[in-house]
Amino acid sequence: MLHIKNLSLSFSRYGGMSFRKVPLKIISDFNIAVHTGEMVAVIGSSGAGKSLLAHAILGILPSNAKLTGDIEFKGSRLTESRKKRIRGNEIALVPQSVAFLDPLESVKKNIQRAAFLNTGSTAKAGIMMNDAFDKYGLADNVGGLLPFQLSGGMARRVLIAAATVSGADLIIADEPTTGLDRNAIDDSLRVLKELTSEGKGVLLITHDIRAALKYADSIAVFYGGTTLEIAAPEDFKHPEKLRHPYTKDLYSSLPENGFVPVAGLNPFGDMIPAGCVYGERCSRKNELCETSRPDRKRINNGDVWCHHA
Amino acid sequence: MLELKNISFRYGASQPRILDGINLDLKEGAMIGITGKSGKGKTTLARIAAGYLEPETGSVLLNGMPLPGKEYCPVQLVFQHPETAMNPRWKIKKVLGEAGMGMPDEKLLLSLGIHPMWLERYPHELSGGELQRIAVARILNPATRCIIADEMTSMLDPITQAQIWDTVITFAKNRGSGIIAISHDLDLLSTICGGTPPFEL
Repeated sequence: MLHIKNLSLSFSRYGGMSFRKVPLKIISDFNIAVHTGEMVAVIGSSGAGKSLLAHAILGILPSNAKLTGDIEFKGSRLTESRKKRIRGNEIALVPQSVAFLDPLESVKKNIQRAAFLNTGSTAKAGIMMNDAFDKYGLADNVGGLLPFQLSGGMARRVLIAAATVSGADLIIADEPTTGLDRNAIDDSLRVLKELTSEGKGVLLITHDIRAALKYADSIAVFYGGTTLEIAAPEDFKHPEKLRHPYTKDLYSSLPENGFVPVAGLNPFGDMIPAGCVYGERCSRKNELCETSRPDRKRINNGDVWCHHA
Repeated sequence: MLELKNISFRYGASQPRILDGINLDLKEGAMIGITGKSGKGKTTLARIAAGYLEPETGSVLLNGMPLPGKEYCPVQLVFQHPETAMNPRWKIKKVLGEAGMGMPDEKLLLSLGIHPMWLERYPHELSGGELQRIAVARILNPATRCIIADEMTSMLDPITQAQIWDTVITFAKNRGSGIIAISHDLDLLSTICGGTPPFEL
């Protein structure tokens, strides 16, 4: 359904000691595919530009952003004008917070608007909204609340309801688990997972690896603005099956797997090295890693971008 | 060292009690985990223990004495969202010096992975993970006897999480400081507290 090839994103900004604009690279050579009925998780650190990825697909980046590479949606190119036409009806975003809703309208009005934009009919929108309320366990009195009055778990369900009544085939969920307790995390991811059985594609953007492993069909490991590995969740049950040193380090840094730290920083913007983005922290770094970006290699039904794989 | 005795709290006279008769005793060099569902008062308890809120009943005692009102508080709280705990108009350099203990030494900054270049920047120019390292560096000084980490690493990736906890735990071990860790993540609490089950609110 969605194919992203060699996507790069940079911002032009005033920087350094000159008055000229300089580009700041945030995402480079990013690759991913989401198929019908599939949930694909992009896991990576916060502040690494994952949300911008969602904004790039929806065409809601600020004007100083420069996007290159190919995005294909349902078999044809996703141009900026097509993004504008289909966002909100073929592709919908479950945003990070209720700040994306109209703060002065009730929950009901917010969801009804999304449904109205899909159906073009107030009556149909009303029916859809009531169905969504039933489906996502939203009590009637929730409809009258304003967005800021919702608790974390409730807010998440309202945002998912708003995204689904839009009738979209591809749902992009941006950090749907932040600030929730375990039950609420399971709750909101189960709801997203159900969408895949209705034939929708879900792109889950998260830093919560455990949640991603539990629910997603495929895991894309995002670091330093690019994909380092695309693996099946089962691969994480046997760490020797993981293909990239970063993914292995990520595995052993989980509290239950040893809580092993790795010195150094997540690179961002102008700190991203020209060679392998994990080079500076990698235990297997050599000269080649410093000078050249590895190409994609296919190993055991997964993809990896590493010179040593 | 840090004793919470019979702590109760409610937000407003007509509200129900969110905390009711909580007792905790944190010994020197010890670590206690606290967990509980959203809305159970975990953050409220953290704020009471660090002296930000007055409890309705009960008392907070450090070595038998109430927390000092004016000078540097030996009980320090690290918040989940560091950007809300810093003056947005101050450069990081000034934020780090806010504790009044002088600049943290270079070795500590290095172990937290803090780049010297950041010191000249403003808080909004750093990411959440970078800012949280600053927030931690700010409190790791000899005057801190007890660290309260309220979802300190829940917004961070696992490698950064392990890195920050490694520094905090090493500091606490060297100085005999106590740690209260608050989190939804039971695996995390069990790992840092050496397998001791957390206190559930």
